Amino acid sequence: MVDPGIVAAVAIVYLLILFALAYWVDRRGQGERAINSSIVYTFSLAIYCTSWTFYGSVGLASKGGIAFLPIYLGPTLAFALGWLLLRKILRVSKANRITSLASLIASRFGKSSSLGALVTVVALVGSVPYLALQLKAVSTSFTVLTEGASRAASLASGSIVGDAGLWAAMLLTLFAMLFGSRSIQPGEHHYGMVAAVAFESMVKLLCLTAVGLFVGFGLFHGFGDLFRRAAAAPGLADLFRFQGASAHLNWIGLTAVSLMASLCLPRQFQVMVVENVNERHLDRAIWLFPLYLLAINLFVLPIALAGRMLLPAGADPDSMVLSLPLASGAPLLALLVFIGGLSASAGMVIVETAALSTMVSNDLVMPALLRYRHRQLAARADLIPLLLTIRRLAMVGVMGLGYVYMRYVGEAYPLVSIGLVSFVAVAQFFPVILFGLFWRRATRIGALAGIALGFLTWAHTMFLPAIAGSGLLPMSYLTDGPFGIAWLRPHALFGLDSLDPVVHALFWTMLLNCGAIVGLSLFTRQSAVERAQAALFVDVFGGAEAAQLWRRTAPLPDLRTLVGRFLGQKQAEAAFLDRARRRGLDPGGIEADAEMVLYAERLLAGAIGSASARVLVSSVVTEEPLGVDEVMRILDETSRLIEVNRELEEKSRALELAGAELRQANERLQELDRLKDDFVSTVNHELRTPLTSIRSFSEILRDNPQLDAGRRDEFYAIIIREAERLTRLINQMLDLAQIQSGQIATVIGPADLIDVIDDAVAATSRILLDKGVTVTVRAPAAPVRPVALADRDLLMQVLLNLLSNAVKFCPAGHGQVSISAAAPEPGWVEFAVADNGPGIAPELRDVVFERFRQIGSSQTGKPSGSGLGLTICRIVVRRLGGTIWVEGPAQGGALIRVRLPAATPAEDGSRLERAPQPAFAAPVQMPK
Amino acid sequence: MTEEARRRDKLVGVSAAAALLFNPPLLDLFSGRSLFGLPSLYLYLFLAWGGTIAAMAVVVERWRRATARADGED
Repeated sequence: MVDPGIVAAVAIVYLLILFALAYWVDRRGQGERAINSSIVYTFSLAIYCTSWTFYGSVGLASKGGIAFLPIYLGPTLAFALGWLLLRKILRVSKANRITSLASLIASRFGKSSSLGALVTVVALVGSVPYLALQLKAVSTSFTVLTEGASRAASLASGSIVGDAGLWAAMLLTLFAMLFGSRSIQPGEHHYGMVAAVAFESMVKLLCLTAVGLFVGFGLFHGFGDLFRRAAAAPGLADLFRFQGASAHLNWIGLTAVSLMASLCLPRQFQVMVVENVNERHLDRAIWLFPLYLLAINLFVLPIALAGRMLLPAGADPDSMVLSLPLASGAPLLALLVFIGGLSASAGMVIVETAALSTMVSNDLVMPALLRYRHRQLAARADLIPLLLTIRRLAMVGVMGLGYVYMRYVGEAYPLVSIGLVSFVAVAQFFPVILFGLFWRRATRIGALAGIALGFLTWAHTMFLPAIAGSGLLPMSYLTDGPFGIAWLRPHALFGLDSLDPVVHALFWTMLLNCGAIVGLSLFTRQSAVERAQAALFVDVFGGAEAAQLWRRTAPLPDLRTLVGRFLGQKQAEAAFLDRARRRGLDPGGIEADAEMVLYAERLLAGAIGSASARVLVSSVVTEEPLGVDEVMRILDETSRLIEVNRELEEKSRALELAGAELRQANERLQELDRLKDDFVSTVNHELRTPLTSIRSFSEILRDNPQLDAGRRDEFYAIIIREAERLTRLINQMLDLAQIQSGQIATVIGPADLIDVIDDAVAATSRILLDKGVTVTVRAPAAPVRPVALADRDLLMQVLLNLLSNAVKFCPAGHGQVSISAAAPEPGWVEFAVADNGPGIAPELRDVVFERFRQIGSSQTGKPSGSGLGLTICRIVVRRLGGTIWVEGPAQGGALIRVRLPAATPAEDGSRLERAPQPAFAAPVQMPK
Repeated sequence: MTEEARRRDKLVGVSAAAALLFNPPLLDLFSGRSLFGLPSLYLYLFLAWGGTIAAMAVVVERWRRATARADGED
């Protein structure tokens, strides 16, 4: 036993050291630098390990063996997934200046004050048993240390004044007040508090490790010896077994609940998110924190086994860590253990009360004051003292509740059982956070219903039964169900009695909680604010700012004064100046725009929570929520713009097409123009040559009357020939013009091809004779007589053109032209004109029919003729409903074939009868 | 971004493996036996736990070194 005075003195000195450390860190003015390390961050996270770990785990291990471990494996899994979940929570919270779990949830669901209040109440009620656990541990350990384990059981009967728990509660509340609510700052960093907590985490780890080593090497011959003796000891073998469906379910359930709780405990959120100064600290904490958990649990089982073997059978399991050194005559080590336990409790109590007080003031009291006492609030210039008072009162209140719970309820339960009640309570926040961060469509109604249902179910299945167990409620509540309704029995809801109470509660709360969130979210709609916030939270790594669905403006001085009332005027002014300078605005401006209003709201949110900040800011802001009409108009305008854009695109496409066509047409025109130019110069030449000869020979004749008759006749002949050529040329051009303009009247009727050919040959006999060309006409054997349905005169013109063309290209002296007629298939007749000239190259065979196109003769390389002959032919043949094309080999003569519709037998029959001429097969021999 | 996704996937893989290792039915294998004079359940759980932490540490520290070079900090 240790003298109570000494114990109290050591405890107070230790707490004073903590005070000094916190004070020193805060005073240095560089608190951020002092705790800016991932190691300190990890040790502050280790606030997860409280008296529950320090005393309770050993207690549980002494009865259940390895069963204490899921509570630490859960957080290990949670942190392994930290990259997915924790980092998102951290980023979102920093971006929105979230300072508590309630703010986070409220902010995600449209800055809803009702949701913030609900979360606060749940967190408050849920944390009370946990606080009670810490106070009970301090109280018990003090009693055990000073009076021995036997006295610890009768703690409740002791006077309140003599209870160490009360004194601890008072001292720790004072600490929390001093360092957890020292001032109001946006961001709520409490560097001193974090430093103290990290220090405490170090102390508790060292103390437990010291006990472990003492047990292993002081009381046994190493851990091998310890385990060997434990295996031989009666009744301990069960501790090494792990079997059965119930054990499995418990294990999994406890892992799950601790996974969720390690992220949702108010104090855990405080150190992990709010007090975090650098996101990169989390990266390393992902494995450092689980490592801490492993280290602090390493000796739990050996200590528990030693306790079972060395301590009397009835010893309080939860104080084994303390009683072992005491019983073994090591009071100094026992004192050290007491300090370690005190550290574990103190850290938790301080941060928990600080976190809860922030929630109570920001999400419960302030919104209420703003709603119901707005006028009184408006009269105060400086609201900082009010805010601090609210927080400190909240701390006292929370601690008071914890103490009361410990005195009247916690007495009957082991530490772990008390703690698990809290774990299941805060786990109710996990689904909301998970869905809120990853599912955009989760709605406020769903979140409210989920948390409320989960909380009520928790109260029914865990909280009230615990109270009933302590005698404050009739035991029949537990055994018969409320009002005797059997299927509502708290530990066998709806008759489900196969589960352990904790797993049972976890199952029902999670089922109803998740079911409500998902189900209601699917069937309710989000408001505009909710949707904006949801997008901001879910896509936090997308970097997008929330869509500003409000047109908010405010007089800048009003805004500054408002923020100043909560942050201090000087700080507010500096913040606004800085912001204006950063955005390149006039700092002396009168009007704050939407962005500035948002900035002010976030500043305030950092101090009093997002829901309160929104209410406050809207009191000075002329907020014009874009009504449905306005949003519709914007949408309408947008869609109209899209429409116009699409039309424009279509038009430009059409224009492009038209442009391309125009370009093509233009190219054709240019080509035609060039052809025309060529033609004109050709025609010019053609016209001029005969004119010149006529003129020059006429002049000779006029100027030389003494010319002999022979010469004179020669000259006259030339003049006449040239004049004829001129006439022919002009006629051709006139023909073309006439045919093209459609002025020629056609008389369609049966035209015997052989007749027409004979006429044409006869008409050109003169030229043929001149050039010495032999003409052969071939006709099909009788009785076939090809008769075309055509205008005879036009047909004649085509033949004449083709003939003169053929003659033109025939080699002088030995030209050969053959004309053939045939009826190759029913309905059609054909004739062809072939020569033995140079022929037409394949690539030119279509071109020759084009207007003004001339092909140079291979001999001269110059075009000869007008270039209109074939064009006229084609136009005529087409008008007669036929086709004309070039055939034959490239070299050695051209063959031009014409196909025309045949006259029907009825039409040409009479003619056939009337003119039954024999086939004209004999070649017409023209004298050379 | 792809590097970040790779690291995320690795950590998710580690945690999935850990979730398997830490839970029944694998735990049943070690129930009630003894290994090197130590209860095998106790030994196994702490080894699996330590292995998981080591795996996480390797992934995270590699990443930290890579990004620290990139950021020029830490």
